[in-house]
Amino acid sequence: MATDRKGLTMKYIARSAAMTLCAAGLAMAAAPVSAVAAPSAVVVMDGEPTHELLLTSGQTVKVEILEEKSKELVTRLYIGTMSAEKTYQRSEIISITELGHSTEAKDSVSAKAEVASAVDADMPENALRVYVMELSGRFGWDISKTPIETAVEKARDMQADVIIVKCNNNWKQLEGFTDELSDDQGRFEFNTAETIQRVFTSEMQANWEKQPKVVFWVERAMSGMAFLPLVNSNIYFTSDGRLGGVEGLEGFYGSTGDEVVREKLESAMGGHVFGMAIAGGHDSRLVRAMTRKGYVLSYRIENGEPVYLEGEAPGGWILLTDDGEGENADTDYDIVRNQGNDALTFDADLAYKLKLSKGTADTLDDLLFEMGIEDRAYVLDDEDGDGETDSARYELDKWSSGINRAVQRLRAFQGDLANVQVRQQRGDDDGSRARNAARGQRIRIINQAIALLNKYGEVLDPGKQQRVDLELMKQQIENEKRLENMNRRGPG
Amino acid sequence: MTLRPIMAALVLAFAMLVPASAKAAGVYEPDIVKLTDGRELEGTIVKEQNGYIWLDMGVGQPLFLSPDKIEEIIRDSDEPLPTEVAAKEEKTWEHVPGVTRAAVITAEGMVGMQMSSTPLREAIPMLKEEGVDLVVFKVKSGGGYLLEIQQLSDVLHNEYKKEFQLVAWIDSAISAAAMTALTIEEIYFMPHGHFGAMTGWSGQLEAVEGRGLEAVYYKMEKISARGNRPDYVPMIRAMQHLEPASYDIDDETGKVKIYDTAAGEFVLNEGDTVLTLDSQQAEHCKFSSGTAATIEELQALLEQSVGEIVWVGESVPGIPYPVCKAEKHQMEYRKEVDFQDTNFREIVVKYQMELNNARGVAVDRRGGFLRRAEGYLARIKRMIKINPNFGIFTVNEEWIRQQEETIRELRRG
Repeated sequence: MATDRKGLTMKYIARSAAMTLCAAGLAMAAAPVSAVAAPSAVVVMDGEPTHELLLTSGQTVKVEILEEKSKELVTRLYIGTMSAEKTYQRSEIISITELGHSTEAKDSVSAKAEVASAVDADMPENALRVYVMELSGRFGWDISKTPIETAVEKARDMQADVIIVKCNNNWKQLEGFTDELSDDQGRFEFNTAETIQRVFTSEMQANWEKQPKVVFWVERAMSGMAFLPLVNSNIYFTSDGRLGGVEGLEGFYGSTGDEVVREKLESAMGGHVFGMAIAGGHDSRLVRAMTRKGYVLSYRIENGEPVYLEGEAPGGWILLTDDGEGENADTDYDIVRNQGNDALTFDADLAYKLKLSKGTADTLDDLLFEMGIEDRAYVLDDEDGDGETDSARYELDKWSSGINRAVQRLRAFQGDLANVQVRQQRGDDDGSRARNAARGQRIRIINQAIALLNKYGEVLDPGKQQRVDLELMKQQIENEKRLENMNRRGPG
Repeated sequence: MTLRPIMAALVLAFAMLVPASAKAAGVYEPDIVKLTDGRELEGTIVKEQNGYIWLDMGVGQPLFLSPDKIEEIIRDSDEPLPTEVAAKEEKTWEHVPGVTRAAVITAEGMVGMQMSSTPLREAIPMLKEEGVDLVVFKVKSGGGYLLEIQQLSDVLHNEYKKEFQLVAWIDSAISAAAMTALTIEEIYFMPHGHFGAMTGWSGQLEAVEGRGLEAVYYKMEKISARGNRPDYVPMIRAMQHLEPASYDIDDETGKVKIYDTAAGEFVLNEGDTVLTLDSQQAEHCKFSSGTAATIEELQALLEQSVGEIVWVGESVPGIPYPVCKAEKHQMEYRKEVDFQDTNFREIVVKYQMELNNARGVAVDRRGGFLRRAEGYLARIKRMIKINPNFGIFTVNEEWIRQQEETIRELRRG
């Protein structure tokens, strides 16, 4: 993140040894100490079922497995808010399904553990506690709800007064190259932004006693990311900042089905994104201009305020977007230079002129100055002095590297499964023990894949159907085993 | 009122009426409450809550004793208090004259699945138990099955409105969810709230037509009448069709007149798209009674008409409004339907696998497979019991009966 440290009035100097451990990725070392300081997280772990059992009676029960024995399963059974220990015979259990939240619960414990050790000891008493996080990488992949939620939880634990969210999603044509995509290469997608924005709106209302000031600082908020900053009125741009690239609401469904149904669905999707802009205090017509190529919007400035006119610009008005039809269609010349006007994409100047942006700042110092807090701001947990809160970076990076690793492992999954060998064993005349051992190995591989999908499901398996397929594969393997056992015993 | 006169009366009554004969007869052993001031009281503890007790000493109202006054309790019996008394224990509220007890219940997810009339109806006794006067019906749904709209509207109109003052708070009400919310006369929006896009469709984005479409119109007419919005019918039609809608506001009376053309001063829809109202439009055309981002803002709006409000429910992390018992029930229902919905295909396929296994072995070896098949079938039945709409769109009762017969046949061989 670009920053000029000289201008920062207050610097972050000392850091505790525990924080050093955390920054080095040794979170587990700090966890036992901090777990004591974070009893609520321990309650979450202790207080929630981790598996669902399907019983031969048809009943399903939610349990935490305490001990697995050869013929029985010792569990803690959960019914509503109550729980009690209960032992099930394996013969009365049809299937055991892992519930999705167990991994996250463990993560939340370690996350809190890290935060608890990240107190800024040398911060002046009257400082404004500023938490800075940069959302970089691919939107809907690296930038996803869970890591952002975790980072914001840390901000809460650090009692941040201000949260600066730098929006800088990957808008490169190719990884490792500098050339960027053009504005018309984005796509209309609002679900991810709508999911993430709750972290900064309703969840913040519910989870923070004193609401922090949230500021979005836009370098690249392109494609679906463009909607995220709009939920807030505190938007700043970098001088080369851009927000948009979301044309495509119009004609989203192509020529499928009846026009009235396509219009209905587009109208519903529009309702979501226009609503987000209204909630952020912005004129929803700007979002219409961003998302609908056929929407014509003009403006002029009256008494310093932008005034909008739906339609072509008469004298004294400036055309923002035309209808993109015929000779109004953007040319290649316009498009490659980001000068098109079929759909609206904001640069820093236009955003400031239309009061979407409150100011332009290229460095964190400049931003704090624009915000009028440069003399009181203290950037929390910024040991490396890059102007970003270290624990936020840690959480966001942890997610990115984790999900990339998960994808690699899932890609290898089919190969791993196919490579399971049936190895001969002594005293296994009919080979059944060897085959069962191989089956057990395949089930372990499948369980590993399910665990990865449970952890990164919001990106990799949002509908959970891949996990269902894996459960069915497991069942198929179990069936093979049971049928073989039965056949081995001979005719009844 | 101080405790002393009550105590005096009770001590007198105690001396006159209660213990000696009963004790002597060995019939009755009272509970003994030793107080911190050294006194001992005898009677029956009829209610306990969070350390507070109500001691019935045989005359008048039970004596209320707070934990700080109690040194020790020697009980007649360890048995729990009767159910009726236990139920009374939960009542921790009382109606304060002039104060409205309000609660939020949420309708979320797909109409006919997570957003269903079943949990809504089940919530009514819970709301009554907590003394709720005013229910805020918070809607966040992208729509769903047309067939559930009438059920939902009936519960809201015929049952809720009889018991409570009912208002809607719109987060997102699209299609069937919007049609449902039309039942309610008083509608508030969240700032990002939106309402509309009610076009009925099925399959590959094919619009409902012919008699089916007329049936939807008729349903809307009836539901709009329930919500007392006959004047807004042109606007509601623009939420279903590519039809224009606009309105004027009378300068003197402030009354809104909606047109089925784009000729009014304020145009909602030119007719080239299907209308979805945003919160600003809804408030301006007086379709909504106001816009509130938070429960506190909503309270401020509601208090203008109902006076002081106290919210029923407890604070729950991550939820920006108090969660009452009825709301907890809605949340649990949705969670269950979500879970079952996600796993439905898995259960059905596993059921079929077990049947196939059974078919592949001799009759006398089928028992284990068929027991498992029955287990899965029982789970499918339970899903349908939770939400009958599962059955309508996936497996119905006839299918269940066929499967039961198949299992019997496989068992017989």
